[in-house]
Amino acid sequence: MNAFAEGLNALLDVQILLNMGVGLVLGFMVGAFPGITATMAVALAAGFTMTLEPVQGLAVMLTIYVAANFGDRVPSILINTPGTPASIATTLDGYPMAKQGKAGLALTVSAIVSAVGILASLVLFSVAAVPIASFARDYFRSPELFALVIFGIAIMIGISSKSMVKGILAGLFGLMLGTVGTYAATADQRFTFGSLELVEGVNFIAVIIGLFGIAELFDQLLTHRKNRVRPISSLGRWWPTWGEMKQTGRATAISGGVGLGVGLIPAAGGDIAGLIGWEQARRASKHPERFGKGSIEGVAASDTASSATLGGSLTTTMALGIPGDSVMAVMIGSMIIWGITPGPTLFTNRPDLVVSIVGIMLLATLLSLGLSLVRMKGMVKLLDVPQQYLWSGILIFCIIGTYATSNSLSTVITMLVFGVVGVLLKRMQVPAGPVVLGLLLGPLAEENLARTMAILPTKPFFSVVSPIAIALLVLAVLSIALPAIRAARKPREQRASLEESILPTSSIEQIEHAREELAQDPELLTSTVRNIEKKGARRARRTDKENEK
Amino acid sequence: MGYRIEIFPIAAGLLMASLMLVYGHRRWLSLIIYTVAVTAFVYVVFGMLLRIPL
Repeated sequence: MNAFAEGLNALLDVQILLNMGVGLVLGFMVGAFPGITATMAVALAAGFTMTLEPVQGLAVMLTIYVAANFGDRVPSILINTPGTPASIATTLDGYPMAKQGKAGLALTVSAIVSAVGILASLVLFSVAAVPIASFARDYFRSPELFALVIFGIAIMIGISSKSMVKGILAGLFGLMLGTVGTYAATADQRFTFGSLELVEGVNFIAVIIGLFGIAELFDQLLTHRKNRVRPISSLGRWWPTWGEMKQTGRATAISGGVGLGVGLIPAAGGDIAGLIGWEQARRASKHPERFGKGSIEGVAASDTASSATLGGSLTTTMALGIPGDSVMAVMIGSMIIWGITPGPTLFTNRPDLVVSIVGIMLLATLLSLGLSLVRMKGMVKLLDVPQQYLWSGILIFCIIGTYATSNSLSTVITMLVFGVVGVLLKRMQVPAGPVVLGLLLGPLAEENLARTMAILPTKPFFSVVSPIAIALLVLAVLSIALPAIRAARKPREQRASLEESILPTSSIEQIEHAREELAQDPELLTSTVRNIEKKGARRARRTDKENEK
Repeated sequence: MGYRIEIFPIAAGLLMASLMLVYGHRRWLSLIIYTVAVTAFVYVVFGMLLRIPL
């Protein structure tokens, strides 16, 4: 039987369908609750899926990944709070649309374009993954692999924090954690302090659940942020007209291209793609002035771009072994535990698994689209669930999930310790992404660097270090240096957020202006925009004072 | 002949209840129902069905 048939055959199992059902429900819920990210859910699922067959486990995790991408648009549109970071850009136009009584329309368009984005990205994966993997297999030796890992970590540092120094520190902390345990080249034990638990290194799943999950739960515990925002309840009509669908065509095409491209860059995820896609669609639109005020094109652009990154991330992960985004980092961790190493050799060793992965993603997308269109009205009610039920339940499941990975309390302790570390990092505004990437890729980088250093004295420099490796290292330096230079050229108060580091100042002004206009309509006012109203009022008072002077 | 007291459900229930209180939940009936339900679910699914040595 050939690989294609074998891969599909593996999916024809009731267990797989059941697992996908579980993943679908979990993914939607995770997406719909702000604060719980897909990374956290997949990390938690990794604890429970370890005992399953690889395809069964991947069915749960990939379906969560896909379904969260649909669920996270709901709070973005209804309460102006992104369900996961990937839907940041959806709030720009989705919430204004909801305030205009078009929430149903925004939700439907969002679900349709998200499905289009993911399906297009799966085509990219099917077309590009094998050539990229073959290229990597033929030309990537130790120096190139080392350069690629450094490039991945550098990109993550470059995009994840407004302060480059904090990003670099986080990356170095991750690399340091990666050195704990037995060093593969010499079998020496490093930084284990005689503890048996540390001989195999720091437990990756425990660190991820700690940094992404427990940290958020502890943060909630300390701050008691109450969700006073009431979701917008008048949803209006659901189905777009033909004219509206046509209107979104251009935005979907442009931002889809952006999403596919961004997805291929290691470590860059849906949040960045959404914002860049939104900006590019605005530039190309016939009505750029409507963006930020509830434009259906804006919703289509941001959601297509962020969803289209999925296939690109999958390509980088499976073909090169470098995680395309933070969810994929967790997925690599799980796959390694199952004895499958993502990378160029995966396509020669397990071509059937690659087919199964595409099949799962395809099915998950179609199921998520169906569920989005049917159950969106029910999803809205989810946003009313009191937070204390949610947080305490999740904490218990995090503990059990982490314990289940090794049946050892030391893993749970590691998780709790990294939960505290995560809260500290959060409070100091140090990003957790580079820490995880450093921990995951550090040993790989070290191993390849050691091999390169061993070969270097025996051969001329340029016969060992190829132009590919040099180009990747240059790109790594640029990906840290360029954002730093761009940030340094802006005034300090403008370096506030990811939005502002990606979007040009004119776009930010337009969004702020549109939000202020919306906030001035007292009938539509909900508690979310009161801050903006205050900000607007402050600004108006300041302008008045200046005028008086 | 003797009884074996399972520590896990008791500990998990107490932890769950205290977490709910710390997260700001104050209604006793829902606190008890939710705590017992989640603890029982965890114990049955993970302890008895998946045989994780809790």
